[in-house]
Amino acid sequence: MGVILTIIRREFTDWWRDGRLRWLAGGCILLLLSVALLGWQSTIAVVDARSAAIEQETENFLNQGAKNPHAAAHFGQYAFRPTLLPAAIDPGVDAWMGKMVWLEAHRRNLAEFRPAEDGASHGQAVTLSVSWVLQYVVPLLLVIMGFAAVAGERDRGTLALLVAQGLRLQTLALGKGLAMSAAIFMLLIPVVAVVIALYALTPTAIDTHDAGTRLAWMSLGYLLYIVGFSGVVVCISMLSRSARTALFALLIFWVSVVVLIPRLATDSAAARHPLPAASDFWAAIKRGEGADVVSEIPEERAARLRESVAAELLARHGVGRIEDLPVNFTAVYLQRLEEADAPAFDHAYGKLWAAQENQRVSRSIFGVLSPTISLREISMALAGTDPFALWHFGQAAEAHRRILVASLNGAQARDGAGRGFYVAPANTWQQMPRFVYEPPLVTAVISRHAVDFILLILWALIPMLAAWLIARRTRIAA
Amino acid sequence: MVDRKTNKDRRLRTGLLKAELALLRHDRLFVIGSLFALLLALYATFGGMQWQGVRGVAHAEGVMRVAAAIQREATQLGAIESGELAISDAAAAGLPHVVGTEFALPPTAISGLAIGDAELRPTYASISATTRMHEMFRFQEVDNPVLLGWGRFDLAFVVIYLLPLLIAGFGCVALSADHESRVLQIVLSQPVSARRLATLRVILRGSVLVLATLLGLASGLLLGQADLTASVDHLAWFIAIILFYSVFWGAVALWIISFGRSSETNALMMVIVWAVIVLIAPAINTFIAREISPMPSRLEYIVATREAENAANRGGRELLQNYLLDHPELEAARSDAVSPFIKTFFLVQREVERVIEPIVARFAAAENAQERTRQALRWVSPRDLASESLLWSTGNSVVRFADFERQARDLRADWLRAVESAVVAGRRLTADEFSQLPRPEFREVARAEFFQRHASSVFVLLLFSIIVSFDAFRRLKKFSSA
Repeated sequence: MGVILTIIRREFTDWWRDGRLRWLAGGCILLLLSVALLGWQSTIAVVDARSAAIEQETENFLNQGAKNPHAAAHFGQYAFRPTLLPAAIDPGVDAWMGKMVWLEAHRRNLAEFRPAEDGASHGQAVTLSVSWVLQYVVPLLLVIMGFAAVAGERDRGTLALLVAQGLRLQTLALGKGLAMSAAIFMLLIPVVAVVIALYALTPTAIDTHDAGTRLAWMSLGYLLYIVGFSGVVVCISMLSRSARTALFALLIFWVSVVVLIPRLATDSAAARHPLPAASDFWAAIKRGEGADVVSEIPEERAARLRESVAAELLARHGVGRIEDLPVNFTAVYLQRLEEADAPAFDHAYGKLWAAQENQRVSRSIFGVLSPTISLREISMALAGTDPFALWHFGQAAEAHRRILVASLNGAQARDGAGRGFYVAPANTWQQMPRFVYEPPLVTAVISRHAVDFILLILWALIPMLAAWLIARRTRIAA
Repeated sequence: MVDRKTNKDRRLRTGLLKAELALLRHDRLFVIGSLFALLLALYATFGGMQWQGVRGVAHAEGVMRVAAAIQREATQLGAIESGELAISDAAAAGLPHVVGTEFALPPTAISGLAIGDAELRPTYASISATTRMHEMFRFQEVDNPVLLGWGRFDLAFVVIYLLPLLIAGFGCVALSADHESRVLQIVLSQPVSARRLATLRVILRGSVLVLATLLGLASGLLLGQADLTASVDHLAWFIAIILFYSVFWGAVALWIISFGRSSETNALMMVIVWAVIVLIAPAINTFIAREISPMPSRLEYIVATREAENAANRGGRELLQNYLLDHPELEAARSDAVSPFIKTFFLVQREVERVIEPIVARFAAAENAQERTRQALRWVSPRDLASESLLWSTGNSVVRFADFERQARDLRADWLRAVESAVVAGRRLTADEFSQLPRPEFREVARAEFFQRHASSVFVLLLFSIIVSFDAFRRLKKFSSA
């Protein structure tokens, strides 16, 4: 243990003496702190804006005045997707996902108003965030710090000297790897302190949605990532004949793992599991695919349904005319139409989600080649900034839409009997259900990404094991 | 005497070139790197052509659909007016709230080479009297957010991210490796300067890598069966940007060499410079643009729209009465072809748009301000300059998308004006009125502006290259192989 501590101490002294590393580390801390503070600030602003929008939207719905309930169902409600606090650390693909869903009669809408559509082009630009620095810059810093870990000793001829003094190569590798990881964790201390302070200072009015647990799991993911990268750096440094070779090999590794493979993975997943074209997607819904009756002419389907509902109601209530029914016929028919259309929406949206899930699984497989993919998937899932967060929200919003429309149709069916065009009093809207949304539990997120976690653990363990094996087999020439 | 010296110089240069080419041929790592560039460019180009093929077919189908709908509607209206067709046989013909059109942004023949925001920005608009303003772009492609966020593996990605790494990576150690093995001392004992040797080696390596990329591009275009007849100038600019961007990275490699450090230090410098130029600076630019010119909240926009809709709905009946008071001429033309609900809906939407106009204008102003800031910042970022120009060449620039949105909104405004009186009077359009309706046709940006944009980017990239090379040459003059 004492030897390992000595190695770690010596590494720290060497790095401290290297002016370039001091600058790099300083720059990295500054960048991390800035993006952490700004990310938190903008996340809190988004959370506040959403709360205000929900309040105003509720007001708008309640203040419709006297109106036909079905017209109110067409006016509908907007459901606003929440932003979780960990999004400040990892904005994931939040900018490319709609922030709100319009809940209206007859139609399940896609989430709209993607922040990326607004303002300056995203193109291939990156969004600065803590997660981006940790996923891209920190591994590069590890490469720069560690490429000469063992290869440098070999170049200088000190490796043989150290071994001659009785130092085992395994101990040297372990010491170097630990030193690198420790240095990075020390760099992260101020950032973690700031995040904890910001979390503690978060206004109590804001629902944190297990932010503490989410951040803890995210930290575990990043810890495994950093340990894994440190292990790879030590392995390659041991295998290389010179520090120069080690550096080139590590730079190629970094570019491949962090930049190249994630893009290839996304692209190939999209090619293997293409999403339906918008025209096909909406056409399938229009045809009623997945519903009991499929027809190229939806108006005909609706007309047939209307006739059957009329016949059923007249028979059930034993009357001869629609006007004599003890319920508002239009409302009952509209509700049946909603129920008849629902399976078509479930079918089309289900297919869409299945394709996205297949893409995720396909991407995750590339995690075998790149831990960055596994980490990104885990990190954005925990931050609530991945497509699952949108899907989960969309499902909840759709469930609410159906309840809301059924309640409005119900009010018209009950109170509008025998009145033709029924205008409900202004206080009707207060009796309608409100949308309350709870994001998925952390356990659900973790279980969805179990494979990614396993891959990250393997990425952390295998390089360590490999380093140990390489160290055992390496013969040092005097 | 002078001739003899010139001949000797030429012979020396030729000899040096031959020797360097032979060295390159035997550099296995470099050969692998060049093949890698070729394969990546081929894969990216072919993938891009596939993507573009799907887009092109969808667009062509849309154009045919619009043409067929216009033809059908015009024929029906003509037949109704001449008495050949009864209204009951074509119930929806000429109804001003039913007729509509589609407006789509045409993809260029090389749009798959740099996809950029093409999957994010609206490229399709549906226009009719009953389509609300915020609904006109709702039938967008349904893409996976991860694909949008992480980006596609297109040729622009290869050119912007990977080609610089290869050029600067192989270039920055062009002298140091010989320096470390003491071969450089022997080479420089010949009448050749370190500056000339370094420049030659960087140019040779860069040229081979660029050629490999272009070969990949050409093969990808051939395999993808691209029809380039209408986009030759676009492709020429695309290639020109690749060349000038590569020249810049060659200059960076030369600049790194000029410090005379070891291969490790050079490689480290190279990767840090690459990360700063390609990753960090553009991210900071985007961040600054957003901070300096922030966008108003979309939530605020939607809430204001809803408030206005509520208010207008409550006064819907009055809106219709007021409109008819302002337009007494419509009273005589009144018919019941359009339901009162549609008439009110139409006027309510018109009122909503009038009320939220200042908010929409504020959005547009903020968006323009942000884009202006970003455009200004790109002059300090070679990566942004090159990326922007590649997107311009392929017709996927932000400016073109914004132009499309503006033209779509203008078309919608013209359309609503054209059908307004018929909707409120509740009557069908005549065949003549139908033929006068605005037709969708995307007007491309003027060629002069296209040229100016590219020329300025190329000029600034060249300026960056000259500045960096100048400093590199200055340092290389003092380069010592000792």
